[in-house]
Amino acid sequence: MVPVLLVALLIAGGGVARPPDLPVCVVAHVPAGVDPGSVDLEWVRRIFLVRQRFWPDGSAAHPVNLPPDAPEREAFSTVVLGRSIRDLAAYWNDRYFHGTRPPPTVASVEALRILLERTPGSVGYVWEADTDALPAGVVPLLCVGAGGEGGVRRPRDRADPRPAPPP
Amino acid sequence: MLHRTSTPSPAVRRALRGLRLGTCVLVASVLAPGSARAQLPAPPVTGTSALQIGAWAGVTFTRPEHPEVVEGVDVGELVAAVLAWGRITARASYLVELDMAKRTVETWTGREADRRVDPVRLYAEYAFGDALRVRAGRFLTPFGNWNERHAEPLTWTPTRPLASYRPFAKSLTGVLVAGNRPLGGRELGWAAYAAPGRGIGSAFEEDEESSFARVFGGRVALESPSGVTVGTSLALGARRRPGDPDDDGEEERDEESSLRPLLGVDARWLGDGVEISGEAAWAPEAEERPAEGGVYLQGAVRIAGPLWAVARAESHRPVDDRTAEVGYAGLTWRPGPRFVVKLGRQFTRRPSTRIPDGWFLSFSSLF
Repeated sequence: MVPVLLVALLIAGGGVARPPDLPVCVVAHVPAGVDPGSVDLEWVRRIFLVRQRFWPDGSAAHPVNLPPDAPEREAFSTVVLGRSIRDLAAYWNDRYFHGTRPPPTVASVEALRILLERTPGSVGYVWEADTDALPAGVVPLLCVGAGGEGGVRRPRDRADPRPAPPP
Repeated sequence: MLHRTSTPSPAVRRALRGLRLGTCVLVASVLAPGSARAQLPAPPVTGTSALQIGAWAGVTFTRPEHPEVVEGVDVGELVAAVLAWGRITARASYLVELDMAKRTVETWTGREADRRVDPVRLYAEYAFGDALRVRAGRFLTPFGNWNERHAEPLTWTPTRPLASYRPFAKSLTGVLVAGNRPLGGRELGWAAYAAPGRGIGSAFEEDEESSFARVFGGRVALESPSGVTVGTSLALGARRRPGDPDDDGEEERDEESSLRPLLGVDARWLGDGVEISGEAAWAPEAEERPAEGGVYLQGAVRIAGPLWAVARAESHRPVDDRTAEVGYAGLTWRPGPRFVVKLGRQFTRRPSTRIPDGWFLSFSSLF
């Protein structure tokens, strides 16, 4: 009986993250050869855990974090990475021993916007309300949190600002 | 015709219940949702600049319970390592780890020196993609889950279980291919290596209790989102091990003439406020050498805040022609993400230089 209860408890409650009150959206300067719709939450999670380093077309991905005290950072960490920033410390200590640090941090959302605009392949996150002010070449990939019953959804319809590829 | 059936003893029944419970927990944890935190074989180097410098250090104070049978175990040991890594191109990188001191209890009694610089890792790596990387040089042997994360600030105890280092060389010089990829919501990591001869690190391998004249092997690990990582390792190697002492008491090395298999299994569960891990390694009898194997099980439970209780039980044979049974119990304090204090006592019925009993206190940090 005890094993059955233990199995049920683990499967039912095993670290399910609560969606944030505000939707947080993943935004990126997507390489020209990549369809933004081909990116899913698992890809984003692996990119920010530095388990994956390349876009589907083989170009390098550059994940970028907001400061640890930014509410967007905690929301993103909890919902997308599945753990709080503090709980991920042991993971990053292990990776540090193998020559990997967490993705670099920028000081503000404004700094993130500038870096995303200037760096093809870069990936970050902002509140959904901030996706209206993204620079040219930067598109929202997906949003997580309030709305869509707290699940993952594609961002509001928004024209892809990138120039159309030559025929 | 009557059939006689034997009833298992209470101890066997308890062991079976424990095994069944452990299996249920493991299966449930692999199935459960959550997020990954553990480490897969041969993690990549992902430097963001041409040169990044890091370091870790630890100091361990030992108070042997039976100092009369423990030769060469220092009262205080300092281990310091410098890490340097960087990105050459988007796909090419390198990593160097220089250890400035060596642990005495993990080396063999016949070693000539136990204090010098040791290039534990010195390799270049090229990533064709996340699923395929090639590494050449000197690297940590991907066998079990402890060896590739052996740094003092990353472990729970100041001593290392025998199964995590005694059956194999801690570092190899050769070529390694590795990769990782998602698999049904889980993460699969793999590594395969060949160290066909004694290379740039051969002089330093003399310090290790086990080294390989040549070895081929690999490791596969699957990490579930709930924090469970299960892995299996295989090495086919001709080992060089300390043999019988000569007239001067020095233990000369014997080299096996043929490849001998070494099989390992490991598991690690990282939960909220609890970590359970274990490894087993086994090599069959060959060339008049007895079979060798060992297993350990370790648990760490958060008591309050950054204070954890840690316990470990292990069994390994042969060690000095006997089966070694070793226990450890202690406290580990992690006041910050990179600083660790460990205080514990190691128990064994037959203490020796390789397995001292007594108190251990260590301070260690990543920098």
